[in-house]
Amino acid sequence: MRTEEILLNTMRNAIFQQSENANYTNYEVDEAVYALAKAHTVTPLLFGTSFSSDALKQKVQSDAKQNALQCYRFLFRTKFFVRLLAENDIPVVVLKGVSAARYYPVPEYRKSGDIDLLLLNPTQSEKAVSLLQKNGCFLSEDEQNENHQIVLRDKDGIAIELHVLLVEPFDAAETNAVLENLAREIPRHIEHVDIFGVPFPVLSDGYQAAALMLHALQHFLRAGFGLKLLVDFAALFSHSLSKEETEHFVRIVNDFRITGFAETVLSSCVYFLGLPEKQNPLRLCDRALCDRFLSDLLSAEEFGHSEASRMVALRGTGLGDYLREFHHQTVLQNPALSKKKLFLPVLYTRTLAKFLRNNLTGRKTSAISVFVSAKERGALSYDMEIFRR
Amino acid sequence: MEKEAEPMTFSERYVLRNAAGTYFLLDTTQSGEPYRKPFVLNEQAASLSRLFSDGFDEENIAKIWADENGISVSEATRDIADFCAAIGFAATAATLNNGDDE
Repeated sequence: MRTEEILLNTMRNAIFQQSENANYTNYEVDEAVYALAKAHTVTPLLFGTSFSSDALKQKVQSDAKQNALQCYRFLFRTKFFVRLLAENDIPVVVLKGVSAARYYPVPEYRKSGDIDLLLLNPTQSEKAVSLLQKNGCFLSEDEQNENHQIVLRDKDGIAIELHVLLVEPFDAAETNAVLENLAREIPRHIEHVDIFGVPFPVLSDGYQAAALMLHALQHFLRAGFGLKLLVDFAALFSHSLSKEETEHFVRIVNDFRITGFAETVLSSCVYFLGLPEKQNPLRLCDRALCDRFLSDLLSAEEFGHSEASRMVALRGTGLGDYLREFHHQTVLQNPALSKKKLFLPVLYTRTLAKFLRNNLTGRKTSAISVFVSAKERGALSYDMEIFRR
Repeated sequence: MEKEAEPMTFSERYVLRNAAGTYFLLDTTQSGEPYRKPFVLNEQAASLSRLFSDGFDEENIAKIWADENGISVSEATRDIADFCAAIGFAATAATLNNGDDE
């Protein structure tokens, strides 16, 4: 059996171990499977399976225990920051992290690297940053490269990402208008759930699923995302969503015109991670498309860190798609100046120079490799009908 | 006169978790600043935690513990006192709050 299949089977067992009629086979995990799991940051989920050696078993146990300890640290640090902000009239909702982990049979096994908090009132971002700075956090200057979040670090180095929007703005005004509408809806769809005895404000299931889908899409449109995010969806939808929450999810992905993308993601959960078909609220799509998607996902590793040439997935493969992405990158890098059309030629030149320089010095790849990778991934995003359905 | 706060029960304060083959006892009342790590428990301490979580009082836990382990009730009571002292839980005291919490 192939390494990838064993890993997928192991993930399926980890998520659906308690389901009725479970009759899964435990394949032996060897060093190659472990290495792939590590690249996708899912080694804790290997705990409890069969291993080719005792040394490997101990390595996984150690990973799982460290992850559990980190999970508890993040849990209580999240509690501290949520409460601190709330006491100063800055309401937030917890994204990803513990709010995604709660759907796992053992939440401690979901790897998390930071604390993501969404400001319910984005105009409070300065006040929130100032408050966190007064409480031992500092702004991490070289991490402020995205328009939708502000990154701070606490005294132990834990990153706190204050989101002013669920995800980074997209390259189309109509999509961003949907994003803004969604932001207005969110305060009415918050629940306070108990995670290990600690209450947290989180998005209701349908909104949570939609937020994760937008997050996954954002990564897919950049360098890609790995197995961990796919497992997040399998874990979330392993719980039966209420009719109302299912309707919210279906409506939101439809509003964003990413139903095709969401169908591919959830169908992949059905095909590869054992999500029961009845719990997939969307149409089961073509297996061949899911195979291509899985191949992209497995080669991406966590957030597309596997290859320097993986930078973006275009909407298609034509010249217009390259130009559209180039313009979008320019706008993202220069959010204020790019609103003035007069500056665009200068900004385009700067973006191109930066792109070429980064390829040569930072990424150590060629522009051609980036274009080839973008074209291949663009063909996949075209077939998933991203922003078209 | 202000009414004295009811002491928290064990299950209100602690959550026992089992992950990676290890028992962790989380003090959920901590504020998170500073962060206090969970207690790592052995099998016996985890059994005691479960008895507390199930709502038994100290006297009954001592009886069950003595029975299960073939020891006297006074020895069992000492084990329980040691466990409570180790985790900072005042099982028989009127109040529980040991300081740095909310």
